[in-house]
Amino acid sequence: MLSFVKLLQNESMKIYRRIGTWVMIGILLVVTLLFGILLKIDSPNDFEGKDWRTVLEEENKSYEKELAKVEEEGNARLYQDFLKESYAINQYRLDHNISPEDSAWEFVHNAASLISLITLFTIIVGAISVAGEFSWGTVKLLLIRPVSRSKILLSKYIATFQFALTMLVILFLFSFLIGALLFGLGDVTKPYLAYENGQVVEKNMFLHTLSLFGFQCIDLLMMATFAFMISAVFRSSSLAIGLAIFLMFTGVQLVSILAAMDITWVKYLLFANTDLTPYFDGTPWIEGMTLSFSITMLVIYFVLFNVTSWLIFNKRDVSV
Amino acid sequence: MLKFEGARSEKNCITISSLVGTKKSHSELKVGNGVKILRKDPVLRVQGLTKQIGAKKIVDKVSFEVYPGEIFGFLGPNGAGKTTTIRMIVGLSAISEGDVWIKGVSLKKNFEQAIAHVGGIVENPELYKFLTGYQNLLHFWRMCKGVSKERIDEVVRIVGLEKRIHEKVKTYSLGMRQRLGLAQALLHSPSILILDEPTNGLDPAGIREFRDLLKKLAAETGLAVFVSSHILSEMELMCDRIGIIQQGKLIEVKEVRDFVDAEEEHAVLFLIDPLPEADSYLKKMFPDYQLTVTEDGILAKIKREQIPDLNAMLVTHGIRVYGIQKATKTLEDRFLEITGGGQIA
Repeated sequence: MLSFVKLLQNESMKIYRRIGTWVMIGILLVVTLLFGILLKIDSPNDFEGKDWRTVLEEENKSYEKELAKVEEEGNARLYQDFLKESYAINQYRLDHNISPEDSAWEFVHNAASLISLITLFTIIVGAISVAGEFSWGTVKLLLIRPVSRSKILLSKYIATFQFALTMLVILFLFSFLIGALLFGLGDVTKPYLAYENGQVVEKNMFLHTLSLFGFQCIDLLMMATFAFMISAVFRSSSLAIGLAIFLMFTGVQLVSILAAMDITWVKYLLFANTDLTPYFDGTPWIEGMTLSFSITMLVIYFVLFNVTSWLIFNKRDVSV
Repeated sequence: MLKFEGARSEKNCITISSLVGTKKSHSELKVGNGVKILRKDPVLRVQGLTKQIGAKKIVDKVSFEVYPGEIFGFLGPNGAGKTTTIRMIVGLSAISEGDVWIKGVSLKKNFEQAIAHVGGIVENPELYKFLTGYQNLLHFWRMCKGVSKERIDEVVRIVGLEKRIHEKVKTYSLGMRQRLGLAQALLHSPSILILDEPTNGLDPAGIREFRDLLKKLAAETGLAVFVSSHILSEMELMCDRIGIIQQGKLIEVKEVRDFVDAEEEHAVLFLIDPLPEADSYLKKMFPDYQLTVTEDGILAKIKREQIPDLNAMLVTHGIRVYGIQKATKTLEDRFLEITGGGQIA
């Protein structure tokens, strides 16, 4: 056990002693700050000088019109759902006097979309962690130690996610700080409004933000594991990074296109299952997909990726 | 002086050499009070080692042993299977057939225990360039069991990197990287060093330094060294024994001296002036000798003890001798002879 901690120390040292890692942390901070400033400039808080109630009422009128038009055409189910949801939430705010104005929590909530940036960085770190040893040639010194290859691979895998966790904590804390500075702390007890089964429900904002981070992390976990596998199989960090990022950006698009075409096997694709939020807050891609189905698919992919990396890393000859 | 690393070394000290007497120097060791101890067990035993890829045997039933304190050279033309053999010995490549025993522990069956006795550099010493020399050593130190942290400073001293050890490896010259590579290989006080083409890319001074260090380590600590190279003259200067591999087969294992001194007669070049006069004089005096006039002097094929005699004759006859060179048949010549010349290119 102690020896494994030492392996983790090694992997962490190799991650944090590289300038690239600090550049990534710097980029995350800068982007969060810019994101905050952008939201502040384009702030919905002033509602062009009008009262937020008037704005929401106007919005709802246009939603109603749009919905009637789309329903007449009888397709675009996802768009219909989106309109219904937006309408219901606006109505709930008006009925219960809950302002839509941004505060620190809401900025953290918004900043959760920056987790895709962390996913990107984790893909890079994970891919370099394995393939880097091959391109640096250091793998020849690494694997001639009294430590099994499995342990070395596991230490790399865990160190990669330690990095991701660090980045997530940085994002969470820093975005709260930026949010508080730019939008004020606001009403900390303000609830988050979710739309579940045609009903608007109040939820604790802090827990909701955490769960939002958590849901985003599924994508992070899967994509980083995928990059890890590619890098272990092909021993090329650029291939692993390129492929993982390409899939990360096109995967969801592809699934949404296929889903819109009502192709049902799309539900077996990884990207149809990485976003679990629709099961709690919205509607799933394909009708009939359930939370347990998605979790099963995720577990299958997760095991497949990891077993492949492990088998290849353990068995193949090192020939750098 | 030899430092015993606990029970590990003592187990292998089988008999005191006075009881056996005739053993070769490579398996003898001097301990503090000058008592010679013989280690009978090989540190590295390779038996029937084979690497098969498809139908092709890249390494074919290679067997040899390396003893404590010995520098064993592994010589072969490019593509003969040197690196593949080394990769199998250190566990980077899977073994198709045969096995490797390090201090009696099977590499196949008990990799972690066997490899703990091995220090190695496979080809160039590629280290983490973005880390300092010390961080690199710390990294590998964390991967070995039961080695004190002070040992890091000790190996830094052994390889003479004290001044630059806290600088990033990317600022190091190749020679310094080689030293750092050696430091990581020595970190856990291995019983055998396995070095693949260690002098590749080093300048002549660097090669010499490296060679002296290895010789010193082998002589003083009883470390066994297994070194591959295609730099033939280099092997001649460094090794006690040499194995020649060609097309995956180990074709000869011999003491370096046996290789070179196999013939009794040596070609000796006399740098003399004036040449024609000396030539006719020598031919008259020694009609049986094989004499050839070259650009610089006369090449004579004679036995060792005849060299001073011939020299004396020349001098008394008033011929000026500027130099006498032994045009030894080098290992290179022998090597080319054994492996059939053309292969090396």
